[in-house]
Amino acid sequence: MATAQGNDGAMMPNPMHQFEIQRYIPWEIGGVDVSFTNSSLFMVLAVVVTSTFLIFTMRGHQLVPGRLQSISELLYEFVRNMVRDSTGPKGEKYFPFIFSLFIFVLVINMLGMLPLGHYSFTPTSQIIVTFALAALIFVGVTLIGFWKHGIGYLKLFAPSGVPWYMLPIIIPIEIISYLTRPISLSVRLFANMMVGHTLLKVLGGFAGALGVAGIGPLLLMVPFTGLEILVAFLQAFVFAVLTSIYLNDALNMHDH
Amino acid sequence: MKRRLDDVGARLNKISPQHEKALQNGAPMATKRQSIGRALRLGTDLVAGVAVGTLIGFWLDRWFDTSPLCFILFFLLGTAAGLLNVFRTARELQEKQMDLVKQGKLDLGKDLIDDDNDKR
Repeated sequence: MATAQGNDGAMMPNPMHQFEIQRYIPWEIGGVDVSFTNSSLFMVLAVVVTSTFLIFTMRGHQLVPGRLQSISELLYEFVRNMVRDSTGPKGEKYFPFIFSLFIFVLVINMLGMLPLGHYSFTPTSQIIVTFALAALIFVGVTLIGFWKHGIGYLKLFAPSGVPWYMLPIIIPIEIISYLTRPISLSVRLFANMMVGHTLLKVLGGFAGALGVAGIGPLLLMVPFTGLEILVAFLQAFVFAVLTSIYLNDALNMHDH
Repeated sequence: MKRRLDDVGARLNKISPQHEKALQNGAPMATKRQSIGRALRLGTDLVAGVAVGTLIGFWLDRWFDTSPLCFILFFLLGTAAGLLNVFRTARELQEKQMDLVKQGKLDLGKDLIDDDNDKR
């Protein structure tokens, strides 16, 4: 789009342009669009960057870690403590999944903060990406719950100590409350990433369009960029924490 | 090499109890970090409850042609579910904090101690 180059004149770049999907390798299988897009590219990049970094830094596996190895170990311990705190010993098995999930979302969010001009893109600012992740977690956790507790997992919807005449109201409420999980999980990540990036782009547009007075929005952008990096980290963290909390509910049912 | 490893192992064994202790003292900070994460849930949990309830009601109405009965009913149920989500998160947060206060690890100041006799 032409508006992206409008910084020198009074014209402002479209703040929503950064969320547009661009097909790099158009491809269709049976009427389904499976093109390789900028979204796919950044997800692949995230996996490649993560794998390369972790394998490269752990290559020496020194007993006393060097600087880079420390980063990997720090990440590992950070997620491991989080999983252990929220799921207990039963959840250890699922640590690899939560670790991958956390690193994937974190690296995607951080890659989205790179100023790559026209090519910059954040897959987590697309609701379908976050919803697919959340739906996978939701279905997986529900299956684990039924697998561990059998049909007794349905007791989750009828908490103990509720008088029988309240059950017709309580059960629908509990079911709806359970169904909100994938929605709130995906919307939170998506909304946070999209809002932050839009705000930065709008401020950037002002800075370009206002000429000398643009120094104001430019200065404002500095703290907001910092804040956005914090949000990018925090949202990846929240996503992983919530996944382990849901997992905990499925593994140790008695909490409810 | 083997001797060096044993040496390091012995030194680690000596140090790790102290380290564990230091970690325990660091607990309030970790809880604070987790609290930020939980606080961020409150808003979306409430809205998601209302949205999911309303959508279910809307779809049921379309199926059974009962507009607007299900819509209204499930809007109310959804709101209740959203509030339930928020209530649960808030209670979890409070219990965590109260545990820490009881263990003397976190000082909330006098005013915030649970002194309202609600026999929870």
